[in-house]
Amino acid sequence: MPRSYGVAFTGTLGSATHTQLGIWEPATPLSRFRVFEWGASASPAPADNTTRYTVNRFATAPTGGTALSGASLPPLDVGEPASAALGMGGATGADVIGAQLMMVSVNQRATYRWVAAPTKELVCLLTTLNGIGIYAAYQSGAYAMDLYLMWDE
Amino acid sequence: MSDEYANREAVRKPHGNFSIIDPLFSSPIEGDTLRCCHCGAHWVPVKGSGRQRGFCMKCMDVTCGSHRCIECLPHDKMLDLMEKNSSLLIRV
Repeated sequence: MPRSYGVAFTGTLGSATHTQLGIWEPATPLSRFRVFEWGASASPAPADNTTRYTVNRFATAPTGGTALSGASLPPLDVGEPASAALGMGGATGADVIGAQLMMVSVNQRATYRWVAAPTKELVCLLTTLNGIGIYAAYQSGAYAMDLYLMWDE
Repeated sequence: MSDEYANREAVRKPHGNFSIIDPLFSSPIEGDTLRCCHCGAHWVPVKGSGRQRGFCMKCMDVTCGSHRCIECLPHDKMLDLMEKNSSLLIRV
């Protein structure tokens, strides 16, 4: 029975080629993470900006951002153990961007949410330090966004 | 609303759903996504988009239409191959 986890990150959108919010397999991966939901919205003073988000695979753990692990990746059921995943928000280096799995462009004022049907999730490779992340491939200015990601493992 | 989302198509068995709540519109924009049975990418089916999608007769499921997904390589098999050879990560 898979366990579900979630992570959120609020930060200024930065690099187009490094993940804004991503999770990846640890050094000893145990299961393929299956991303079943992600979303984007803006809490602080949204304005008329547009962002093109992509969801991509990546190889190599990202660096330079806010590290998210353990209690920062809480289970949706509080009785479950901590996630095996490692995460980062606002990365600035190291992750090698791979295949694109989704793309959407939305206004900063809008709230976007995507949910996969069962068995149709975005599947992470069972490979050390490989992951899936949300990238801000285009942004019309400098502004902060709230992103979240949920997955089974 | 962009033309793309205005012409989005509802499908009988969606592989995902999205919603966009935009204060410019009185009601949420909701739609379906489909997943390529080979590469695993999701897209929004849009009527008249001009994008050519495909259908795999072995998997009996839709494909994204990209060249790399013309030949049948089921998604699970592709993940197995990528796990054995991570250099495929960029290409597949």
